[in-house]
Amino acid sequence: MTERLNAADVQRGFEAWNSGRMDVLRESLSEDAVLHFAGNNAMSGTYRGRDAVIDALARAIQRWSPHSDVESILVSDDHLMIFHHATGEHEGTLYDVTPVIAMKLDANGKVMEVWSLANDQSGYDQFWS
Amino acid sequence: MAEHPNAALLREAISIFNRGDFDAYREYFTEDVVWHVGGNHPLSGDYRGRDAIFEYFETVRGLTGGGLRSEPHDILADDSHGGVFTQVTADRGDRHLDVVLAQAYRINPDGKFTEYWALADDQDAVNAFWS
Repeated sequence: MTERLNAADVQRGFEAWNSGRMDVLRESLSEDAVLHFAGNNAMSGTYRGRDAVIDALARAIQRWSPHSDVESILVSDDHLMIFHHATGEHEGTLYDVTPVIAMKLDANGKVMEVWSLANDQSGYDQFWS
Repeated sequence: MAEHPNAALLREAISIFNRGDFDAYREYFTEDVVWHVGGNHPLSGDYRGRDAIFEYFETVRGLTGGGLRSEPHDILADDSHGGVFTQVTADRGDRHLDVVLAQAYRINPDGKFTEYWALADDQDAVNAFWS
């Protein structure tokens, strides 16, 4: 099995996310990357193209300063799925959510499609409102 | 590399779901399982407990004439999590659904599902299909 991305790469990606290193995130995306962001909140929707995806992620980081810890990373040749744990408080409401980032990789190991989905979607919607 | 036992478990469960054998499919769930159905449509929401979830599956079966199919592209797993990327197709009257779902599962040490959530690549299409 050729693991084009491994758990260490994902950890690095998460550190980049937590510290707002957009250059690191940009490198991992294919030019025509697509991001599907679940829910009914200010981030929800589909973003098409690396620039649009990076803009969306940068907006998320600047406005909400999200921070999360990796719970589990699943890897295959073509896909990654990261379970992470996000806790915090937003306008007096405590949340404790396990979002998942699911990714499909292209033949060059770049991320071509990303899904962001949470188990407690209403809690997550409050966070991203 | 051999498939993780939980990946094999998911593959088997999905195949049983596709056959419509709900008695056998029930065995894969804990009694207090939580099933999160995302999106913005009449079936969206959290289903708590195996009975509630199977009522939901029966509703889906009724609306689609038992023709909803899930054909996995890839199944990922570790000892307590599963990830499935699957092509979901269904027909409902003149409506046709054909989307890729990213599905997340929590699996307990007995090999039973305790929690599930998912997102489609085209959630608007899913919303329109069930509305």
